[in-house]
Amino acid sequence: MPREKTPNDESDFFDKLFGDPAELADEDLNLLFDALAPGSDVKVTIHNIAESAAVKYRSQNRLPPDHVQTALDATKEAKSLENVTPSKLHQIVEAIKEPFTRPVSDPVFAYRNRTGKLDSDDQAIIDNLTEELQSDWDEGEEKEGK
Amino acid sequence: MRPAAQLASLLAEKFVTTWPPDLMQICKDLGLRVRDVPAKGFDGVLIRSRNGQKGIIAVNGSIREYARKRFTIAHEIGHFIIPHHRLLGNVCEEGTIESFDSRLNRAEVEANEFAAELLLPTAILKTRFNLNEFSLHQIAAVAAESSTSLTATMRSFLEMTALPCALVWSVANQAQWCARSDSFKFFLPLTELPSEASFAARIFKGQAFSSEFVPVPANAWLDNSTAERVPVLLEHSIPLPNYTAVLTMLWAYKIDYSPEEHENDGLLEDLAPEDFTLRRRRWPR
Repeated sequence: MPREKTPNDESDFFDKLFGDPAELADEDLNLLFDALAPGSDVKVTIHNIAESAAVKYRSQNRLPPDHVQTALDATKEAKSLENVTPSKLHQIVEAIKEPFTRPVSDPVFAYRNRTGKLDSDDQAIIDNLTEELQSDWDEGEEKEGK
Repeated sequence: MRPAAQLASLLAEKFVTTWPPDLMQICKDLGLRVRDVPAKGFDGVLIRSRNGQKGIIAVNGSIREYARKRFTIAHEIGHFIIPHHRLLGNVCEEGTIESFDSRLNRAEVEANEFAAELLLPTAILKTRFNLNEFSLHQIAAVAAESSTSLTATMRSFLEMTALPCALVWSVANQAQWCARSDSFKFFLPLTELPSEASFAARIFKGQAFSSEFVPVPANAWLDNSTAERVPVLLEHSIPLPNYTAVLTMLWAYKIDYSPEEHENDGLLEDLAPEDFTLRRRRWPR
């Protein structure tokens, strides 16, 4: 009879495949993350996990433990570039990856000089573009822009 | 250089091989598609994956000026690259309308700074501008060469020059915003500008205007107390009918006092006339 899967099985599996992830170099860790969760940003993902953990602790009137708070602090996004150091700016550019072309489901929007509410024609444009963004760009040739 | 401009400069080192930069190639390298759309309610929009490096920049097809389209694309590239900007967009699925809170405004400024440096790199402008000459001719030539707008090019000039000069953007006879060089330290009371005595106001009235810098009473643009410190203020206003706007170039051509002209200046009565000559030995700190 097969034994039940225990919480440690997954980490044992990774240990066997890659060794101890904590000892991996940043680059290797990024490669591993890319392979496991293509198209997503490791920093954002870790922040989201830490944030949801912190919310759970706070909803129980408990302080998030140190490791959760450390993860939150380390992955917190700056609110402006004002105090960002030149080396951090270098890191931002170095972190630019190959374009991701697979389907996505997390669209966000930033408008320039938007005047009030979008009418139905504008909304249709946005809907079409959103559909295009979410689709698999590897399927067929890229549609040429007009 | 502002951090957003530094970021644009670093991005250019990695992705730009031509000048003017090939924005379509940059977009392709970054995972961005560009679309021309018949929108009515916005100039441009960036639709991106929050977490993935994938996005679409759509530009309003009714924008006639090529330079403005390029600035819009460069601005959206800025939003795409600056990490915290991904958190500012509104998610249409939630039916929220874009809000212009202070954080968003700051992001818009950063995206503009990014776009300006991407399109008008400081290193290249240093070789193109004569920074001792504030002239429409020179700025228009650089704007044409770099496929950028007159306004964006002029802003870049003001950030680099040591001349005391400024630009004021007015629409429908009301000043909207201004930009100044570091040495133009005079307050511009925008809500009261352009005044009747300015050439900009004459343009809005459909009257004749000069095609070069001409002296104007300093209090046509500055408040009276400040105007006293500017014996010669030059103005060159340019009509921009597509925007019902006037772009005004101001140059505080002469701001030094001379002892002969200000012998009775009460603020200076404790200083000897020789203090204003090269024979002066000590200067106030």
